[in-house]
Amino acid sequence: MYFDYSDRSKVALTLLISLVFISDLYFAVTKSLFTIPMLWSDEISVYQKRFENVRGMLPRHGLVGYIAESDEIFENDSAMKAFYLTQYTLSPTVLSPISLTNGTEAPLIIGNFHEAGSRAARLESKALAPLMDFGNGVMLLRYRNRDQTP
Amino acid sequence: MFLLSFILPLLIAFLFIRLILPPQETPQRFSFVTGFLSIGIGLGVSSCISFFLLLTNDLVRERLFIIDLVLAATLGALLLYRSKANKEIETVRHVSATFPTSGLQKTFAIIFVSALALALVIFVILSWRNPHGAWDAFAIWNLRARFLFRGETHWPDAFSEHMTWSHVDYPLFIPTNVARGWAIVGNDTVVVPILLALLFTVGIVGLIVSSLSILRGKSQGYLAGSVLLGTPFYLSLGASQLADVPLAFFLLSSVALISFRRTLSSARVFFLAGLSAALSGWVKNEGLLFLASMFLSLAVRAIISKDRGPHLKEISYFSLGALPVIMVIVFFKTQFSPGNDIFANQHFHLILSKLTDLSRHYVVLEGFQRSVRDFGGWPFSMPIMLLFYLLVVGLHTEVDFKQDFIFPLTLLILMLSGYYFIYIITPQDLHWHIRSSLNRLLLQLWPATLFFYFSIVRTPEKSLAPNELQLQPLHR
Repeated sequence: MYFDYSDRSKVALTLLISLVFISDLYFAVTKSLFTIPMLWSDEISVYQKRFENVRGMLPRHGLVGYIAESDEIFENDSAMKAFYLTQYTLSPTVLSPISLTNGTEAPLIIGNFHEAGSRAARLESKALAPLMDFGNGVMLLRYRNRDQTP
Repeated sequence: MFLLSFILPLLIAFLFIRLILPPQETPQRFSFVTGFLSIGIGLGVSSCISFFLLLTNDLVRERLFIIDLVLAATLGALLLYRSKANKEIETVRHVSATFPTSGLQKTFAIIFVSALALALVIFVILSWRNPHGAWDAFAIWNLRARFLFRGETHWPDAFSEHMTWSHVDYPLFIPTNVARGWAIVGNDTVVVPILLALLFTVGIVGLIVSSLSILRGKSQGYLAGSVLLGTPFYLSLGASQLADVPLAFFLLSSVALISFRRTLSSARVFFLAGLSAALSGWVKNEGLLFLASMFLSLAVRAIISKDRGPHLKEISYFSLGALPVIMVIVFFKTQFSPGNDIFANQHFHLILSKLTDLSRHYVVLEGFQRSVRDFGGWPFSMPIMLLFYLLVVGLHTEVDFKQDFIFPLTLLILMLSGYYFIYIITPQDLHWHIRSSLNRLLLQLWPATLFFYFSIVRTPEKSLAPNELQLQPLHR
């Protein structure tokens, strides 16, 4: 059988179109896309629920401090993500890590802790006192002595 | 309400494009192209309007509706007036190249619709799983939108010195469109940014299919659309609510509009191309590189041409179209945006030392070669498959090297060179910067590259039955 230009083109076209469908199906299977989770069970929606009761306690606008386990918020991926998600949830209130502002600007501070053990020591080291505990490591804090910077 | 937040801007853009390019001056089926172009131009213009309403603290539903309705009514009246005025004038409907209907077109239509259905299922599932989008969506774009919507008169807090980690120099196309949608709906529902993402993801496909259907026949259009839909990374990036897919839309629309120059009687199409190119700069900073690259590419095209007059006229139209949005961008950059993190804290000697550091060039080149092969998320490289396809079927017989190659190649080289040198001088960790962004930069160019590719490769009709089917395209 003579494999002419038309036949070669058919083969090339078939391969091209096959790759189109194989690519999408391969992607769907490897990412387990056809396993459908519950709506709002994604990481961000769940994370936002941590702060459900917090927004009403904060000023609608202005600056609020932020503290977590470590001062190295932007040097650690998980700490950075926690900070970004907290800002996303609490916007338009502006959050700023107290390690950057030195506590000179924000009278209120959001505590976002994921480990119970280090919390008390951390607050002590920053001269912070709890105003409200929302559970799950989320707290509203203030400086013990407003004139005293950590 | 969700759809209403987008329908009026699209209608306004449709009427505007018809005013610039009247039906009697455009090829048959150009209404489809107009419809898909309206997505970008309509939302681009509404974004600029929303930004100015923010300046007067007036981003409210009633104000938005009034402005949209006034614009739509004005454009509609102008169109009506012109159609009545032109009734007495004998116009010859432009006859573009026509392609005889073939059974192949139905086959490719079925293939395309199947690919589209699969892609839409994937998009919906990805959005269901991540309704707030990917990292940059909640850290930059939708975060900014929340400030613009929730902040009321304090919306400028979005650009506070405490927010610089959120790239506050990035333009406001997506945040203003999302905030606008929320203002109309009345709450910051995830449906608005998801719909916006869907519009652009599908809009690019529609634009590539409708444009190539006119320029190269329906089969070629459907095939190009299918290949784009068969790019998994395109679908996941589309659903991620980032700005890369909207940017890709404006890159494609500018290139596609210029490609219609040979089939349209008017250089006014360059006005729309300039508007699209400038809007890309309102989407992301990479759009500014694209805008500059377009100007340079058009200049090169004019220089190498024997008759420069028409090309200079085209560049004038392009500049005119780009100017209003450029002014918006300049205003934003000077009044709200701090310096860009790539160029801030960099001085001449530091940049020079990076440019002359060969190890950086090696890392970047190695990153490029790896990403070009792998960026799409295919199990087997689609660029290699497309190269194979081109070698087998060959080029379209009417390819003109100057018209069809010089301009897009110049543009592609300038864009890739721009990306290359940004990586060379970046103050970020080089490996991290390449790993976190190069695949998205390449995806921005992918739809326009596919458009260019399928403009020059032989069509299925000609490659599958070159002897049986004698095609005699009609030329103007």
